[in-house]
Amino acid sequence: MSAPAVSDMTTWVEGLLGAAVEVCETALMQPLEPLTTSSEMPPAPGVGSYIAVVGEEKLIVGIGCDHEPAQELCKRLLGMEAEDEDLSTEDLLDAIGEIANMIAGVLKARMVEHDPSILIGLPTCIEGRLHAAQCVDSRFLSCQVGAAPLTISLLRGATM
Amino acid sequence: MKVLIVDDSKAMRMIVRRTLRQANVETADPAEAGNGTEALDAVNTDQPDLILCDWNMPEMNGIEFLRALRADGNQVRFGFVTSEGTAEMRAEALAAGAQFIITKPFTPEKFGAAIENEDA
Repeated sequence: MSAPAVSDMTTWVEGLLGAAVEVCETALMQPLEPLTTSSEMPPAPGVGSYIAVVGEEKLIVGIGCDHEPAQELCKRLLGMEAEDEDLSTEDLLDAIGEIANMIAGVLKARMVEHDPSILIGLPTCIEGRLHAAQCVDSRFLSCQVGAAPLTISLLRGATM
Repeated sequence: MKVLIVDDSKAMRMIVRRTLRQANVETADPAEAGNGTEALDAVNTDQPDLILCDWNMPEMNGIEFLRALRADGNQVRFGFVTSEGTAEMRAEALAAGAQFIITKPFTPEKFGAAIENEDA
């Protein structure tokens, strides 16, 4: 028998934050420090990756940051040195998509007891802001991963 | 050991290559494919001893690829490397003929142990 379905944003935010901490510590070998949580949309990020998480709730989870911290995080993911040549835009978006994919996967593992029907989609990686439709609620978590600022997004009821 | 890495993400293929080295898994230069369709061709060309495959991929996903392999009588060792590792997916993978699942994010230790022990 599964746990009760989750419809409050706080549980999703906590699950998402926990997933992001696990991914940053394991895959990027950097601590993630949450700074603020807001429902106000932050300025458009340089690059971002977004994934649909669909079950009893329709959600989009995403990460976004400016190009420089994105290079830093993605080089760490790939085991590169900070002074190595920057990744191409294509490779940067691919790598940032993989970080988002891992976070969504860990989020699913944490939330599946509440909703066994959860499915996650493939990452959509873009430069600039995601224009999501029909969003009924949102949270934006401003975080610091090592020295790199990162925003984690949770959009409820939204579609891409 | 000849390894075939199947993932639509170039970044993840790089990470798997690096982790194989870090885990001291002795391999020749791994072959790569970007989805199940490409991987079926690569299996015929490269004759791998081990396939490390993502689950969610465009065109032909990992479980479809595995089922196609087994339907063809190919019993190559097969492990999923995936961001999703629920009990349901694990059972589905094993029923289809996978030997193990490694969930992302992973450490070299977890990676090496799964390959060595086929610890599903």
